[in-house]
Amino acid sequence: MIYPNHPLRTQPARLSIIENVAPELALTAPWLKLELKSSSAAPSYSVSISKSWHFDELDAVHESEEEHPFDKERDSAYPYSDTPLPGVSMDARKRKKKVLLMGKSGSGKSSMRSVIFSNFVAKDVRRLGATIDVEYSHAKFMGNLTLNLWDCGGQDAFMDSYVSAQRSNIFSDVAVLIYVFDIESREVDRDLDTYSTIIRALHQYSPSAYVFCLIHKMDLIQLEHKEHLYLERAQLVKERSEGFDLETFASSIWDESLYKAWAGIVHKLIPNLAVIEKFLHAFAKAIKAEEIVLLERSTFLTVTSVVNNTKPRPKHKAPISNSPPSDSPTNESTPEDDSNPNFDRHERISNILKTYKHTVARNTSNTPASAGFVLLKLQTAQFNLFLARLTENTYVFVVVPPGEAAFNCAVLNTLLAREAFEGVTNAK
Amino acid sequence: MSANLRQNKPRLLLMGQRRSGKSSITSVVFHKMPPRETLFLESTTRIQKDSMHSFMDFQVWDFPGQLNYFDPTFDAEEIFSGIGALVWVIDAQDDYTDSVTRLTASVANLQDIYPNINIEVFVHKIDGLSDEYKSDAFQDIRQRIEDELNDHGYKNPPVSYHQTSIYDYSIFEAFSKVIQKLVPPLGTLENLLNILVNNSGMEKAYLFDTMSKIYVASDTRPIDMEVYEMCSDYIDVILDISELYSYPRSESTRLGPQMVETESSVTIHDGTMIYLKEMNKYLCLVSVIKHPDAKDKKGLLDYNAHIFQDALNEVFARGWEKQENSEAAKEPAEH
Ligand SMILES: Nc1nc2c(ncn2[C@@H]2O[C@H](COP(=O)(O)OP(=O)(O)OP(=O)(O)O)[C@@H](O)[C@H]2O)c(=O)[nH]1
Ligand SMILES: Nc1nc2c(ncn2[C@@H]2O[C@H](COP(=O)(O)OP(=O)(O)OP(=O)(O)O)[C@@H](O)[C@H]2O)c(=O)[nH]1
Ligand SMILES: [Mg+2]
Ligand SMILES: [Mg+2]
Repeated sequence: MIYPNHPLRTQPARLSIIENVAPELALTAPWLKLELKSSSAAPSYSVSISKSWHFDELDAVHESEEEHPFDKERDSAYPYSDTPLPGVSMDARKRKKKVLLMGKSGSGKSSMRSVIFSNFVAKDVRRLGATIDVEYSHAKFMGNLTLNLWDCGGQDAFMDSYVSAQRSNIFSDVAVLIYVFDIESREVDRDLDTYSTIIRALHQYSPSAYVFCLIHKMDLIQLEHKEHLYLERAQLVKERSEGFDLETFASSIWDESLYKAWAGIVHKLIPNLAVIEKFLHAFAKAIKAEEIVLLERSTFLTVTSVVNNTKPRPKHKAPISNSPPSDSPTNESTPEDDSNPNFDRHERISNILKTYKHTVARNTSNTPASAGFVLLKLQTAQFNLFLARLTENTYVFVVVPPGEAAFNCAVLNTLLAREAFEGVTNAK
Repeated sequence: MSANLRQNKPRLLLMGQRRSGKSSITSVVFHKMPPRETLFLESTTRIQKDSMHSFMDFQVWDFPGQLNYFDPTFDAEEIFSGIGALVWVIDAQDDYTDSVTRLTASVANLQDIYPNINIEVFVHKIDGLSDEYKSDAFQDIRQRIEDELNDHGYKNPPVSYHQTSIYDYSIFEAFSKVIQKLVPPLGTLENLLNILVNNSGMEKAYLFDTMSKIYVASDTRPIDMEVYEMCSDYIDVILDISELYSYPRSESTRLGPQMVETESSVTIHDGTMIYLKEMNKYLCLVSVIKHPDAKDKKGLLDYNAHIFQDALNEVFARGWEKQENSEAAKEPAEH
């Protein structure tokens, strides 16, 4: 047997990123500045581009709204302050959103909350006991958005008390009601009656709330029955929703469907989505990206995404992020723009990355909350992509067509942008 | 020898009691079935033969549990000749007395006719057991098998023991060990990996079969489960993401020249880098680098990995490998 004994080089090969960058790209690094021009008459905004990054509208790094001097200033200059945009609820500028999580006991409310927000893995949820009364928690998101989650224990005695003694306390000032149905429940009619009771109370105190119904534990249903069982149940729920703006999702803590549902919920609540999307579009163009996805740092939920297609875009736009069209007036991409046939890719990315984060945490003796990625790069014959921290609370996931130099350039420009941003925030 | 690597198709036989988990194992390891979905698997009624095409072709035969494997009506010659390993699956959550008895009878039967067969005992479903019970059961099974074989008059039979579960890495780890015994140039691969690791600041490097996540070889530093899990799971990350973005694009979107092999790295919060590079159609190199300078030496890494790739493909080489590689290299140009 003769096997070649190749010498392996111990001196670094010369292959530094900058040298590969096409000169014109390196020089025209996209130093964009997004500026909000507020006008008190009409809720309009415009975006201008200048020579430094400006991220304040993208992400809030301030711990508390009240204490920070910038917040007041910003709020008064904020375009939503007087007249709400269509589809943006009246209190859009109030960034603390009360979210009710309701449904029968055992339907899976605390489980999904733990998986999405507390870094539980699916098999850990068996440890959870039934929730007694209401468990409060909050999740900080980008853009100063804080979700105040009210996980309402679903046992009958509690449910009765929510709609009687605690009625105004529970149902006032609600931004979102998330109602969870167990697909395996044997008492469908009874579940629906309870739901009606809740909906009536919500109608009384928070008529403008959004309602999301999750038909949950879909993993227990065999594949061939999933679709029709879900549609049938969703229809029953719709009939009981008294004209609320309702979205339904099939979900399970065991797959990516949970990420789809919660991304849909969060997407509705991010205050300045329009600005973010404009920004991402401009950025995608500048670095020749095919797609950019913005992910929340700790949950990996998709905040929003843009596809960058050279085809001219039609005038009127619909969002691509979730199958039921939402009424956000701002999303720039249309389904026709999107040449990637995998429409579920965003929730799957959330799931893939979060799963790997758990692996990393487990194997570096870290808590999942403190584990994370600095930079992930993937180059294949068909595409290139990378994931990098963008701001304190977000990752950016960028897909670029093949071409090594362009890819290195895109990575570099994104990292530079981030450093510039960090400089800005540190100086404050 | 290496020229015949693909002609010589070793066979892995999976045997054991009903519901011990044989079909679950093949489904999870070779068909990427999520472990929980094995709950829906039905009992096997006839021998399921799978061919795995990889760096080495091999066959996996999943037997029905209720079958008497030495029934005279079976063609023992057909089943057992040319086999690489007999994998005997024992459900550790169940009473294993009968299984042990059947296994020793089978080994006794086989040893006379085919003395070279590796017997691999998988003490399976250990996920549901406490640590203490787990090791007691493992020791007990091992002891019983050895005693019974001794009673049959077999000294030092070629039996190996593994603790496995489809819910974690143990099943992949065990299969890796089983397969490695069947890889002829293992020593050479390990040497090459050692050279690579020592010259590139790597903590540990594995050569994985990409589709099954079985590792064919690793450098000879001690295995560190933590590193292994991060490497093994990273293959999933890359395969899963690639699936989402590998749709055909028009050639006009291309922004410039690029290598055809997949290459990826991730730097995590503590500065550790996990580095993956496709070696050929079947194999990929995955390694962990904890060296603080790793990020800056990416060029060196790429270069050394490339040299390793050349050496590796020469080892496996001869004909098929080269040919397939050059086909793959042509593909992107055709779009
Ligand atoms: N199969 C399956 N089981 C689930 C899923 N989500 C939750 N479960 C299980 O459902 C059980 C009850 O979950 P919980 O989250 O405690 O239920 P809850 O809605 O908070 O119940 P209360 O607090 O009493 O209102 C747990 O044992 C979970 O394992 C799912 O998606 N699929
Ligand atoms: N807890 C646990 N359950 C397992 C494991 N592996 C398999 N099972 C379960 O064991 C049951 C039987 O699995 P099968 O793979 O059908 O068993 P089999 O050996 O092929 O059975 P026959 O085809 O009847 O011979 C399934 O419900 C699996 O989910 C494991 O590692 N842990
Ligand atoms: Mg609960
Ligand atoms: Mg079977």
